[in-house]
Amino acid sequence: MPLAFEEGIVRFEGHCLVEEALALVDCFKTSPLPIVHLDRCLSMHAALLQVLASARPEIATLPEGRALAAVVQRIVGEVAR
Amino acid sequence: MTNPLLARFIPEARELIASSSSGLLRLEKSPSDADAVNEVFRAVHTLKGSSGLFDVPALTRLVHVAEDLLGAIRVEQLILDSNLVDQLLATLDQVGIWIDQMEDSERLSEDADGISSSMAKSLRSYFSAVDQSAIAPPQEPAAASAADADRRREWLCLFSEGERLEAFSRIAERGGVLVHYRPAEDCFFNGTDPLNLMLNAPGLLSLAVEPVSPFPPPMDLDPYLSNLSFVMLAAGSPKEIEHHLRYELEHVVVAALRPSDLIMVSGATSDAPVWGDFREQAHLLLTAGDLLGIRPRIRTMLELVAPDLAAASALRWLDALLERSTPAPDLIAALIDATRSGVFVDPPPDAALPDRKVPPARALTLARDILAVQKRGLDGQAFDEDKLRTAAGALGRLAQSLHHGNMDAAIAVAIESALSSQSFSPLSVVLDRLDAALAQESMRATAAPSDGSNREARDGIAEMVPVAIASNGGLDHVDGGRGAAKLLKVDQAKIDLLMNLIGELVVSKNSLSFLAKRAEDVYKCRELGRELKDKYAVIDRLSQEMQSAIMQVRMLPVSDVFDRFHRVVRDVSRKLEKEIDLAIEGGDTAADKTIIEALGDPLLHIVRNSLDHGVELPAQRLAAGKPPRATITLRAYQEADQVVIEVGDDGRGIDPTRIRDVAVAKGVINRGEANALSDQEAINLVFRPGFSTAAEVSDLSGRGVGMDVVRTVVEKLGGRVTMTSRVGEGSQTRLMLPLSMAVTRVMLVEAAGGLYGVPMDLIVETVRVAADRIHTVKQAEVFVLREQLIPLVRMSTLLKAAARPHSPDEAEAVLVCRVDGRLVGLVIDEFRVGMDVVLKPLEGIVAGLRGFAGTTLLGDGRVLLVLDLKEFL
Repeated sequence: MPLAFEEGIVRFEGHCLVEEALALVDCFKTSPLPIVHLDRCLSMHAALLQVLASARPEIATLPEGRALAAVVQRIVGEVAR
Repeated sequence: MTNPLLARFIPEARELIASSSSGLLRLEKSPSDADAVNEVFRAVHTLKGSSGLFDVPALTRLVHVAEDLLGAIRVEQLILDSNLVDQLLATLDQVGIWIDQMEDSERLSEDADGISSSMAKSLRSYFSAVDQSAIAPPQEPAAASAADADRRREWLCLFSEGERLEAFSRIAERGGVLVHYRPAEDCFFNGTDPLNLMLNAPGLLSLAVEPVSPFPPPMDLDPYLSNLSFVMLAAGSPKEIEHHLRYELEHVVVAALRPSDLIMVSGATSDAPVWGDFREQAHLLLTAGDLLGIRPRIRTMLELVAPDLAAASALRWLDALLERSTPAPDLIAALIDATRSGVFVDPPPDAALPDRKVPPARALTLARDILAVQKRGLDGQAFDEDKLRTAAGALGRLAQSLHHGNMDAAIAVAIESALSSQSFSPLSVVLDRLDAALAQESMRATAAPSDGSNREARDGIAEMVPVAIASNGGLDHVDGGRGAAKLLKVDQAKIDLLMNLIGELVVSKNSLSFLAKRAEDVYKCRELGRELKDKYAVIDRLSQEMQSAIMQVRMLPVSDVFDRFHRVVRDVSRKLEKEIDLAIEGGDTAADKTIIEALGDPLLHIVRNSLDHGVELPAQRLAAGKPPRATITLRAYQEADQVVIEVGDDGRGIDPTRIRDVAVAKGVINRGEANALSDQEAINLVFRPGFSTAAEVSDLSGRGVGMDVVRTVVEKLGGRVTMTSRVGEGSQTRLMLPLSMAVTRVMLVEAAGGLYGVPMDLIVETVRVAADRIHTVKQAEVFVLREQLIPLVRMSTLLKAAARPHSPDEAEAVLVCRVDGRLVGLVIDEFRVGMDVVLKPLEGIVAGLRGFAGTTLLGDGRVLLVLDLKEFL
C-alpha cells in the first residue's frame, strides 16, 4: 500500500494511485485531521491531490520532486514547517 | 508497407473519401436527398471505424467529429449549407493527406494533432451554431485575439514573478508555450491522470493547479470527479506539447509564448527623485549602446528600494532582460519607463517577427485578388485624385485586416507623392510591396498543399485498380459499391505484368508462321507446315481474345476523371462568384487506364480556362442576353477506335482578332502571317508554345504555359486536340485519344537496307511515284498528288545509310504521312505488311536515341525499330 495510515499520520510512499482516493477521503473525515508526510512520495494521482486540496491538512514534509512539491504547496496552502 | 492491414486500409480509405466527397456535392445540390446523406454518413462512419485499428488518434478524432456532424444532418438537426460543405470537404482533403502520409511512413506527421484539433474545433462550432439556432457570425479576428490575449494574461498571473523570471531565461533560449488544460470531469474513469500528464510534459518549467470551483469539505467530496485546471509554462515548441497531450487536445489550449509575454510589473508605485536620475542615466546608456553599464546601476537601485514596489519589479525584469546577449532596445526602454508608471507596456512586435499572427491561406489568396483588382484599376489609367484615395483606402483597410499595420505610414507617403507627381505609380509601388509580402506568407501558409493535384501524380505509382472479374468484359462496376461482392482488387502492377506477358505471347506466336514456312521451304515437309498453320490459327485466335480481355480489364470509364470536376467547378465558381453548372455526358465511355489517368491534368487545365476566362460574371451574361447560370459540358463518346472528349462552355468565346494581336505581340508569329490566317487557324494559335492571353496571372489559369502543355500531353498519348469557338457563344475543345495504348499498329517498311516500323495513324496513303513525276524545287524534291504539292524526303538520307540501288525507270515507293498537320512523302525502298506490335520504349544506353518511338520483336526474333516521324523530320 503506497498510503500508510498510522495514528494521526498519513504517509505517501512511492507512486500513489487513484484507487487510494476513497480511503484517503475517509481518513480526513475524522477530527483532528491527520498530518500528511509526502517526503517519500514519488508521484500522486490527481484524485489524491484533490482530496488534499479539499481537506487542507497539515503537510509535514513535501515530496522530493520539485514540481510536485510546488503543486502541492500551491493548492493545499502553506506548509506548516 | 509491412502492415498488411494498413495496405488494405489505404485504398479503402481513399475510396471512402472519394465517395463521401461526391455524396456531399450531391447533397449540396439537393439537401433532401436521404440516400446521399446516408451514403456519406456510412462512408465516414466506416472510415472512422477502420482508422481506429491504427495508431492515428488525430485522424480518428477528426473523422469522429465529422461523423457527429453528419449524424446531426441526417436527423435534420443541422442544415447543410455551402460553408459546412466547404468545411467537410476540407476535412476529407486533410484526411486524404494523412492517408498519403500513412502510406509513406505508416504514421502521421508531427503537426497532425494540432491540425486535427483545430479542424475539429471549427467543425464543432456548427453544433454551437445549432444551439443558438442562428448562423454564427464569423468571429471578428481582432476581438478574438484580444480576448485570447486577456485570457493568456490571466493564466500568466497564476505564476509568481520568481517563476516567471526563471522561465524567462529558458524561454528566451528555446521558445516557450503556455498551456491551459482543463480535463473532462470524468477523465479519471478512462485512465487519464492529468496531474502526472502535466508533470511529465517535456520542457516543463512551472505548473499551476487551480480548482475549477472551490473544493467542498472531504465529507461532500467526490474524489473521482476532476475539479482541477492546470496552467503550465514550458520551454520548447507547441508541437512537442501537442504531441505529448495528443489524447487530451480537446481540453487543451496551447499558445506560443514570447519571452516578453512573461514580463509583468506589479506592486505599489512610488516616484522618489532617485528614480528620475536612474531613468535618465539608463536611457543615456541605452542610446549609447552601453548595456553593460546599466546593470550595476540596477543592482544599486535594487539594494536601495523596497522589493514590493512596482519599480523594483521592473528592475528585476530589466536585469533578467540584460542578461540575454541581444535584448531588444525597445523592451529595455519600456521597462525603464515602467519604473515610473508601474505599468509595463509590451511594445508591439515588429512586423518581421516570425511569430506574428499569419492570416490563413484563404484570406491571403482573397487579399491578393483584391490587390490585383486594385492594381488593374490603377495601371495605365489617367490620374484621378478620387480614384487614388479610394484605392489607398482599400489598401489601408486590407493591410490593417492582415495585421500589416505598419503599411499606414507608407501609404500616407505614397498619397503625398502621388498627388505631387499626378501619377498612380507611388501607390502602385506600395501595392506591389504588400503583394510580395502576402505572396511570401501564402507560400508559408500553404506549405502543405491540399488540392488533389499532387495526389494524382502519385496515384500512378502503385495504385489498386478496381477490376471486374472479366466474364462479360464487365465495366459495370462503376455503379458505386453495390456490386462489391463481385469485385476483385488487384494491384495495378500485376495487370501490367499480365499485359506484358500477353504482348510477348503475341510476338512469339508470330514466329509459328515463320516456322511453318521453313517446314515447307527448307525441310520440304508440306504436311507438317500445314498442321503448324492450323495450330497457329488456333493460338492466334486465342491470344487475340486474351489480349482483348486483358485490355478490357485495363479499361476504365471516363467518369473516373470527370467526376472530380464537380468539386473543381463548385469550388472555383464559388470563388469567382460565377454561377456555373457542370453537365457530364457519356461518363461510362471507357478507355485505357493510362489514358484516363493522363487525361486529368490537361482536362483540368481546359476546364479552369473555361471557368476563369470563358464564363462571364452573371451580370455580364444577363447583359449579353444569356441566362445568368453558365454551363460547362464534359462529353465523352467513342468514335471508331478513338475516344473523343469534348469540353464546352457557353461563355464569351474566343475572339480571333484578339488572338492574332496577342500572338503578334508575343512574337509567336509576325503580322503578315497573322493576317493570312483564317479565324479557325487563329484560334489554333493558342496551342503554340509561349502563348497565353491572360492579362494577369491568376492562381487558376493563365500561368503563361497554357494550352501548349495540353497539346503536348495529348500528343504524347497519341491523340489530337482541336478548339473551336464562336464569339459570344462559347468555346469547345475536343480531345481525340486512342482507346488503348497497349498495342500499336505499325506498317513495316524497308528503307536504307533495314526494316523499320512506321505508326499506322500517321500514314495517309502509300503511292508509287514514277521518276518523271518527281520535280525539284531549289534543292528539294516534290511531287504532285491529286493537285497537291507534297515535299519528298528520302529515308536513306534521314537514316544516313545507302538506299537499295534501283533502276531509274522503276517507280519510287512513297509513304505519304501527316506529321504535325502537314503532308510529307517518305521515299522508302519497299512497303511490307501492317502488324500489331507491343511497343517497348528505348531503355538503358539507347534511351537518349532520338527519332525512335520504341522497339518491338518480330516473329523471327529480329528487333524492329519503330520511327517517331515527328522527331525525325
